[in-house]
Amino acid sequence: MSPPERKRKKTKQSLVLEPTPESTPITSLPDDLVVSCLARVSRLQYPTLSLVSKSFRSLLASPHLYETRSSLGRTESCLYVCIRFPDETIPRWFTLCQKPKKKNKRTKKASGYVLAKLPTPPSRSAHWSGLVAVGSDIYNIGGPIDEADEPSSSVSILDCRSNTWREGPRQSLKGVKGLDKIPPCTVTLADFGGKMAVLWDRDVASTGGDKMIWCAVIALERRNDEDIWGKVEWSDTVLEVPESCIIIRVLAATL
Amino acid sequence: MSESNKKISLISSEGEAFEVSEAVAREFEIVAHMLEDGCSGSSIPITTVDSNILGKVIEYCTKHVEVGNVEGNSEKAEKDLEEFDKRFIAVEMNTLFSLILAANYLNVKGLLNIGCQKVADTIKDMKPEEVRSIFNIENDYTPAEEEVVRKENEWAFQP
Repeated sequence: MSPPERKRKKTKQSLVLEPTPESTPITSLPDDLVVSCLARVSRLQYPTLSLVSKSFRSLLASPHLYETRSSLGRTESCLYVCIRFPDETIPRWFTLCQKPKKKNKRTKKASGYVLAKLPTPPSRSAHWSGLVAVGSDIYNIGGPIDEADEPSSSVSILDCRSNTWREGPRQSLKGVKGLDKIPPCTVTLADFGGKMAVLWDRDVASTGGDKMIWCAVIALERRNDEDIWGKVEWSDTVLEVPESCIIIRVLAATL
Repeated sequence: MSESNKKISLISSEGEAFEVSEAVAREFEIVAHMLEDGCSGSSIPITTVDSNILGKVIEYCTKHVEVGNVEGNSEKAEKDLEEFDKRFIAVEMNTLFSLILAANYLNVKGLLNIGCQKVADTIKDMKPEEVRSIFNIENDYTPAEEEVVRKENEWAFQP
């Protein structure tokens, strides 16, 4: 050690010799232990941490990490807001977040909470009744509302783990009788204990003036961390109503 | 203290023997399982942990067994233990990682927990390059790839 360096390191624990970086082989942790550490960090820090390396980034989005967070009781609630701006067909999405603390600036006045913009969804529209959060995903069943366009039940999914959009399990929804043919804005969704409840109505051809309300329960399963699979557990006509009836809202209560 | 005054020797990777009470040794779940499986030998080799780290893990377990045996005044004891944990885990990164690895191998859950928490608290306000040096990982992003990740997480990097 050179003398000037010694002068600078005039610490109380002069007895403890600091190991020089080159003499100490750096211990590294296996992935599962890195995950145990990352699970204890707030999600707000994840964007910064995902810049560390590719493997770090994939750990941060891995199901294992979220399982660990859940088993540690470290899950966090995140607020998502969808806002339609004037003259814009595609609504914008935001999430409530807190700015990372700046180390040097001690501006404690502001809470640091802001709504930060998320990537624009691929789907052209969104209707409140076609939006539902199930687990860590937000489903947007929203085809074109415009009558001129051909109705579709295209599904886009906001993966709240990575805050990215992807196209959803359209093929599985085709298994729900009639769902692929109706204007999506009349579909109403609800989180039904981790499954998705879908309600919609259809005219009954034979009895003019009346329509049936359909209900389907779809179990969602994430496979390979990429694909979302929806399995229709059941679908049935559950109520006959006059044609002018409108489903206002579907809610699930947990008892 | 516990009824059993049996002593057990834990042998570090360098061959150094640490004599501890059975109660302390049982804090190592891996040892507790060995004892339950009828492995009654009085010396147990811990080949992957060196003397320095093994000594520390034993210090941790001894303290926790002692406090666990104190009757009454549990609130003070708990606070005391919290303070101990805080001081105990305030070590430099390399030692911290070694403690985590040892706690994981020996299955000392409490120590693993405070170790991982310490790492989390350390990295939470760090820049990516600081985290890289702590975990000894290389930045394998090309500038273009990094830009994509930044873009994806735009919301977090907005001023």
